[in-house]
Amino acid sequence: MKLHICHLYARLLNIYGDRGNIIALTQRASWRGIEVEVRAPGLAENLDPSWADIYFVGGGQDKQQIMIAEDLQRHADNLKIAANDGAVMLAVCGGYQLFGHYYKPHQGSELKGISLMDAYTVAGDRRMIGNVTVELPDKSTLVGFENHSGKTFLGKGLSPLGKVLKGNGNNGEDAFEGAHYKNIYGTYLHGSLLPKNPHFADQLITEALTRRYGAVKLEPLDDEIESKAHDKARLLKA
Amino acid sequence: MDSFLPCLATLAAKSISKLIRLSGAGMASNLPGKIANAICPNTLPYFAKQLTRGCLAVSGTNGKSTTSGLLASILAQAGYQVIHNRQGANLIAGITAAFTEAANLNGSLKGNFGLLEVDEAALPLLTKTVDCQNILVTNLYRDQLDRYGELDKTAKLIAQGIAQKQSNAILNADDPNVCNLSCPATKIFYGLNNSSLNYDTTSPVSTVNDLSNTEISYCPHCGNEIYYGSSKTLSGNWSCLSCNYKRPDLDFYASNIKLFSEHSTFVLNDKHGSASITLPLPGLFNVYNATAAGAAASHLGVNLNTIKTGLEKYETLFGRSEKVHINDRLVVIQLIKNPAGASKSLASLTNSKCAKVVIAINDNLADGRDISWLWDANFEALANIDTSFIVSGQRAQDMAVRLKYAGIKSTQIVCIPSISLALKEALEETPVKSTLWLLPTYTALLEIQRILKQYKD
Ligand SMILES: [Zn+2]
Repeated sequence: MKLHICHLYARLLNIYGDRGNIIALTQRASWRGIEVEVRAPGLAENLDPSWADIYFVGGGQDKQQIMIAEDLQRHADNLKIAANDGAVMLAVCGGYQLFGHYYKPHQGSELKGISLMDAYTVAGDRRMIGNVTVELPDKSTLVGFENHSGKTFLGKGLSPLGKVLKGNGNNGEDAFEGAHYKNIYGTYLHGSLLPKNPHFADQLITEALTRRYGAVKLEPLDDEIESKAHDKARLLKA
Repeated sequence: MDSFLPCLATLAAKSISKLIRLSGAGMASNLPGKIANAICPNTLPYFAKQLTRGCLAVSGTNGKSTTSGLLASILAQAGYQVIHNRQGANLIAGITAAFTEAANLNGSLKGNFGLLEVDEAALPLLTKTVDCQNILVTNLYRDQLDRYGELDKTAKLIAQGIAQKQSNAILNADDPNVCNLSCPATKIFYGLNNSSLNYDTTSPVSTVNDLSNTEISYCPHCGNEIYYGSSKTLSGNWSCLSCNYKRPDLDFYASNIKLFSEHSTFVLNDKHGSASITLPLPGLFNVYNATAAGAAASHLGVNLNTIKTGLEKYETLFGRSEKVHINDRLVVIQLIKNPAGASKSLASLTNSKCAKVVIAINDNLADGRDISWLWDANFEALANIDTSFIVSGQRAQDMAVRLKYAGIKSTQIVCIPSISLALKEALEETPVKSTLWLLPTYTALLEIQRILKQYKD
């Protein structure tokens, strides 16, 4: 088996350690003997929608974010095809915002997203910074760190990723964090997210491989070190 | 200005800092400066006006402490009486305390030159009241994102600090964001001449992929990636591939750079000539610090021979910086606080012989509460080192995960959250005459300094 990972704009959207998510996916697959290939298309480069099993897009600084918002439009159709076909997508922070309809800043023009998910983001008045714990529908938890001023609101038909137990989440108002539609996941959680939430990393890998190879059951790994970090993060104050 | 209030403020600050010393509470207190400013908000400008040879501020994300330490050493050689705030006490309160500490109770100052290490966000606050003729900027790395927002904002704060009193700017030309700082007065550029750069760029093969080279900087004009030629670090000559922005000509530069495990050699060049330097510090980042200090001194009129002597005689204070000897073991301490700096420290660690490594990660406000940056630093460089790694501090567990995913075996990772216990174990496991490396975040470093003092006494 081989896992194809597409890290969109890896070199321009690479703040807040989101690259740790790629490291986690890569290592957790290769520790199980699953081969991994990562491609990282940048600005003006092309994307083959049939190649990747998992797409990842992280967050960047304002200037890079604007450059990417424009470039990402080229891939909107291809990404929609892949998403409808069950490709796994994880978008963090700025990437999450671009997966929605738009980002509306305080000043300047609206940043158009690619509407993969029925969500929109508006600039808030305060920056939401701190540790976050989220409870998923299966009662497991995600831990991470948020740092955003954009407030994201979900359309009626779109499920949040989970409930906020600690921190702000999507907008600091409705106690929800992230979004989940088909196999697309959007979230504000840095940390990096996946290394400290190995169950979620494995869920993404399983969904990705199942789509390509049929039902897959991953070999369990020894996650003692990861669990300790997860448990420690749950104890941190927001 | 009436000297009554500044004198009272000085008396209060001195008394408080004596009390703090006697109580053993440690050296990182902002209290004396805060009290002085509460009694007399003009304490800082009152004293700064007495600096007959002027004032120079050092700011930037990395290297402020070592650069100002090296510059202090040069200026002492050149006959300056330097007033210098100590490492890390680089907010207004800490700078004020440096002056009250150096003042007599009659309000006169024992010193004629101010060398002020200033936090990026505090620089505009400083120059609002204090006339710094010169401001040196080391670099602008992504750092402390949760405190200041993003790099562009930090750059704006520094530019504002420079513009307020029309200070001259001594700028690291190798950093596109530093070069781009606007400065209404004179700009002096320093950097490395990398046509002669001779250092080891071989790093262990990453277990992940070519993204391990995460030290990327972006063009401040068009936002695209900056190209640094063949160099894999953010050093030397650069240009933007998308627009015409490129490195300006250098006024002061280092060439013929050779890096060794505990020192480095290079040649410093100004418009009059050149001097060969043997710097008693390892790592390319210290070559930058020395070049920055040299450029500032040269701009103040110090000649290259004196600069050479100052740099070569540089001695680190106990527990304050890179090297200490404890029980016949060498302990190398390097503060890590952001990906670019940490990756440079990790590179110099892998180039040296080390028996044991402790990585201590705290997440207090002064460290940056977000530790995500650990994933942007190249810990993969450690994967081929045959030792065990002790992870410590408030976020020891996260550091353990980082090392595991960097390709280090779980059995090689020892998690001891208590920093004092971690140091005890590390020193016991470091053989005599061998080297122990400590890589702490800021508040972990302060704790290490306190603990190591006890070992020395
Ligand atoms: Zn450019």
